[in-house]
Amino acid sequence: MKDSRDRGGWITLALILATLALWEAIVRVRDIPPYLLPAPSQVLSTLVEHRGAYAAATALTLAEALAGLFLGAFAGSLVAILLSLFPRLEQGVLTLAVFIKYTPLVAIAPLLTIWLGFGVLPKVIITALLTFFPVLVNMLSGLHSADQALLDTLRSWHASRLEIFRHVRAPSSMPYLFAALKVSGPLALIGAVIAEWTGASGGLGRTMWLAYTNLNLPFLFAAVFVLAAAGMILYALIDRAERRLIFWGPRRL
Amino acid sequence: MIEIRVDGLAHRYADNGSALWALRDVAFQVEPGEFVAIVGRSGCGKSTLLRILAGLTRPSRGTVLLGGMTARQARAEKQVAWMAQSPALLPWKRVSDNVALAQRVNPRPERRAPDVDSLLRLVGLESFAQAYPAALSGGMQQRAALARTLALGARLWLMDEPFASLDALTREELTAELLDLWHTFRPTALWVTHDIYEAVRLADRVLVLGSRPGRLQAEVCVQLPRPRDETDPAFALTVQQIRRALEAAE
Repeated sequence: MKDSRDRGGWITLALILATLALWEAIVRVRDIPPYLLPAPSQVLSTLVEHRGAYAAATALTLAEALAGLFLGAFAGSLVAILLSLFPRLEQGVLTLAVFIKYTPLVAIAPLLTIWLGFGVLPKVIITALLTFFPVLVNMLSGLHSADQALLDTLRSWHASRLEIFRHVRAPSSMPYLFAALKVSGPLALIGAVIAEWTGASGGLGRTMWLAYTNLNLPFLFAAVFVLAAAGMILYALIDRAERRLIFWGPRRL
Repeated sequence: MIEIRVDGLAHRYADNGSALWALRDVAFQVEPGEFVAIVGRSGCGKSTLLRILAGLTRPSRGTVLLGGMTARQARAEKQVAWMAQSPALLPWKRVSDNVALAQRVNPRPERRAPDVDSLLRLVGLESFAQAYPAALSGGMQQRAALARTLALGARLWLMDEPFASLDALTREELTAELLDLWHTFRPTALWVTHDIYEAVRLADRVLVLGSRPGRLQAEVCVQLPRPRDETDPAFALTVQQIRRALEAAE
């Protein structure tokens, strides 16, 4: 199991390196100018040269994304728990949640920037909105997914709703929560970047926007690379947390 | 020990407007400390009957009295230990925590609850107290579930084919152990099964439930000393008697 995972990791690395090598070769052979497509080596040297700036930008964007992710996951879980305890509210609240979900965030992001300024807050809100819906929906089905035999057993002891929630429903919903976080985690980064595009005083989104307006493509690509790497690391962290917390069972959702 | 009084019990499941009667006009009594088996084919409503007694399903009609209490009251007082076919252990809790949970949920401090460790010893799981259910075999999981049922210290056992999914040998073993436990604790016991031999091996009295809608067809007293010998001609005779009642029920 571990062996095959290790091998999978090597294959992935080999594929990435092969793609980069091909890219490098095409750029050099066809002599493509850097303002259209920079070679990976040039992107890398840009990255190394400005490592301080990129590190600061990445830290800021990552912090915004994580804060929003946490906030959205917290709010989503909380609403899901309330709905599972008071099922009568479900229809109304879900309709509202769908409304939020299908309002394009690209449209809201500039508004929030106008209202709340270039600071961190609008980014966190956008990211939280992005996270909220998947977590809400998944948690809700997670809370409903509890094994009927377990529910019956606790009911036969006259367990209260709270006891059933604590001992059965909440643990049953954990795999669903993590499934949602795995989707939302990388999405949260994108949300933060989009929000930064609409105006920010720092972060990878602002770096990208500046590079774009100056047609400085090596700079832009470097930011894209960093963003992709950050997304992968975030996913890996969530995945690891899941393995640790959900030790009992139907693991890979 | 508490007695069971069931009178005029009927239950139907609403099935797209047309109603499906699962039970109809079921009436019987079980004396305190008696071991009664209910046999019937699958789908005859025996699980529904047990769920009603456990206070999990509200019957459409009729009354249930468990030691003078309604099923809901008896459930609230934790006088009823209901055990289903699946072990229904919480996979995220260790075996000992699973057993202890039966005492922690809706606690009855006034009652002296059996000690978890000694219960685990009783079902032969003392060395698996710290294991998670996934590490146990099917038979061991049912043992853990049995220990959990005992942890309630209830005076009425309602058992819905708890060992039906196990292999024949493990099942016989566990059934024999359960009978020992019943002798130790002396609760009133209602045992649902489709296995006639099992019913005759265990029970003081066997109720035969006919199918669709389930109603009582016959009542057979088993007057054989325990432990019962399946090669005994009287045993075979009792089995025959129940089989005929079951066949007549169609």
